[in-house]
Amino acid sequence: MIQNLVQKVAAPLLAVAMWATPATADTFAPEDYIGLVEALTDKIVIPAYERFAIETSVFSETLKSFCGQPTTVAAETVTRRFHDTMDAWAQARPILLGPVLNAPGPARFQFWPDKRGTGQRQLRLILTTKNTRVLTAQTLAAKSVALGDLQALEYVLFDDPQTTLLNDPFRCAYANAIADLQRSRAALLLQDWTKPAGFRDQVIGSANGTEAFFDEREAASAFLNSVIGTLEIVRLQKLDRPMGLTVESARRSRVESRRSGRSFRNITLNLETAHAFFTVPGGINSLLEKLPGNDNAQRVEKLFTDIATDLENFDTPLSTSVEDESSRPQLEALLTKLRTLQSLIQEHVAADLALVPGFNATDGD
Amino acid sequence: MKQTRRIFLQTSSAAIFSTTLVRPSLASNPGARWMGCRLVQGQHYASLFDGTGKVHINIPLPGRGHGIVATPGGRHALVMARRPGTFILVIDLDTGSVVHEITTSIDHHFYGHGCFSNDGHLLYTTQNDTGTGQGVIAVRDATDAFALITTFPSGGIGPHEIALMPDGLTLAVANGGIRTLPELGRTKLNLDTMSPSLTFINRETGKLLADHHLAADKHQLSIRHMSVGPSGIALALQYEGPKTDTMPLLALFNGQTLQLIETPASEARAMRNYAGSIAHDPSGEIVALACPRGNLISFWDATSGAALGRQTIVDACGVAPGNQPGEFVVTGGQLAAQSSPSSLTPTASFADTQWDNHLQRIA
Repeated sequence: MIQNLVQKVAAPLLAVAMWATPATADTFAPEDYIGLVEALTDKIVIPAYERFAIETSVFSETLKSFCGQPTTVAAETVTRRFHDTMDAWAQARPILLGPVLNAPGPARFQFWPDKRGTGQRQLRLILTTKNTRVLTAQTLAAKSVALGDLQALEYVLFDDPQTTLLNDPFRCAYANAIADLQRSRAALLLQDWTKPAGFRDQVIGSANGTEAFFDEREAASAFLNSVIGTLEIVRLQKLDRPMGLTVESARRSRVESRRSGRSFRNITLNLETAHAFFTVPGGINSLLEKLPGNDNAQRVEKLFTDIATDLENFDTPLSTSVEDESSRPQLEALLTKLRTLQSLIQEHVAADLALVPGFNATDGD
Repeated sequence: MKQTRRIFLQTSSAAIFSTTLVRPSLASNPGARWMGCRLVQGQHYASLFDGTGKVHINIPLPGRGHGIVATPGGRHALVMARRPGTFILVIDLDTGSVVHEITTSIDHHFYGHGCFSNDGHLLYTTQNDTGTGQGVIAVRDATDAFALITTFPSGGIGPHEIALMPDGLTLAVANGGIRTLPELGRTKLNLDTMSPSLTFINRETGKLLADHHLAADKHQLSIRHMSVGPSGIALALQYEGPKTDTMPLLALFNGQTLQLIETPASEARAMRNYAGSIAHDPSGEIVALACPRGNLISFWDATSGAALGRQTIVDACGVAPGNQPGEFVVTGGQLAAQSSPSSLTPTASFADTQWDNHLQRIA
């Protein structure tokens, strides 16, 4: 029965039809994609992780020294080093592939958003009970990620103006432990990319198939997905969620890094890295420029530039802007541009590059 | 990831147009409809279309959708959020309107699939208890605004697709085995120890009747999707190990044993270790596995597990029965197509569309 059925509909069996392959599938050779992923790895990923490793190390040393001899002047240095560390993380955050995704994922560096407030509750308990089991990086590493990440560090440093590292030795020792843990995690992350047979080699060798990628196009798609994912995180988590549907339902408590007042700066740096995926020598633009008459590189450039300008034009912190009626049109316009940019990349640039942007296959479902 | 409710509320039912490419046999049954989720210009929709590609219903969603289940009788369709989403929209297929929204409790999220009891009174959904990480089946009363009646364990971690067996009493559950927590996004937390399973549960008592596992050395083959046919259950798998491994992606359960189907190496390599959905044809004798990483649909004999062929379509993932024996309707990228083991004929192209994971035949 089955044989008859198949013979009716199948002639010949095991035939393979090619439909709907992107028109530009043959435009780019494997070496084009390898050139792309190599450029993005060596000019964006590795430098970003190197900087993150350096800044976390400097910050850890600064805190160690400060806690031994706390002074008002040194406290300013601690604050400055914290922002340097957060800058480095905000630049590295758009890298949404490779070892950073290993369990428990990017949350081991920044547990945010904390939608249920579990991290904050744990932090308050630690600070209230002065639990000494969090005072070394080693013991801290075994606890919830929410207690040892950059968000916890921000809370310890900025949440209570009356209780600071200057006047609370426990707080200082705890911050020191978090910074030390972040230092070791950042160093490991860099090492996971750069060591022999590390993730850099998985990317660069993808044309021959590696444990991480079937081929070079899958590797290139993973980088493109990082850009798309970053735009989505900025749009939906960092802006849309705290804004709420109306100004009445806006929640400043949902704004990222609100205690340290660097919410817009995080977004700006996230987008700068995403933008660099296009503009670095050998980046995405270098492939788009090979397509005659294709102006998507220019369209992407204009949107990134417009968005950067819009971000510069906000004159109040995001935590204030989301609850301010007069800032609403500016924020809505920003959301619209981000959505347009994401759509342009996801639906058009991906097709230009003959890459499937992983809509149905990114992480399985 | 969660889509903005802002757009959900602001978007009209735009983007409903498609271009009919050809009129094959799908068009010969004007009453036949298929429903799937799709992304159009940054907004997620659930869309109902016919064999000519005409869109009859286009509902903006508050986030990315996943599985769709029709009520027995076909009056309503339920569109389920992709994990870790928390919404189900109940759509009246006559009016094309959302008549109800179901949400999970704060300590649960949906996994994207559900099924009804044969009388349509009870809805069963797969959910994650985020406190314990254990899989849960939630039972809701469809006659009382889908009020939650009870929950019981799914018998594993990460329950995904769920189906009612032909006896009308037993639920089959594909437990993917992968632990996730909503606060950690979609990060997979237990790939080294994951233990997927196919479980059978008495839907009235919640009692676990049986559970079946693949061989221990295949524990990273996540059991996610399934299709119940006359010869048993066909299961679609996804491999979570190194990509240098080449794994079979089809398993068949014949009523007694769960068997991983030997797959020719060339076929397995082409499928790229990931099958996203599975369906039987109208005869129940052929199953189609959708493999979006391989950009192909792979066809198999539902009883013997013999390979029958494959067809290529970019980002292929939606697959549902067609009109005739041996026929399927598939979606991938912008396209809907009619396919069989030996042919694939696009039937419609949908502007600015990315078709999502699943396709459900409605009538």
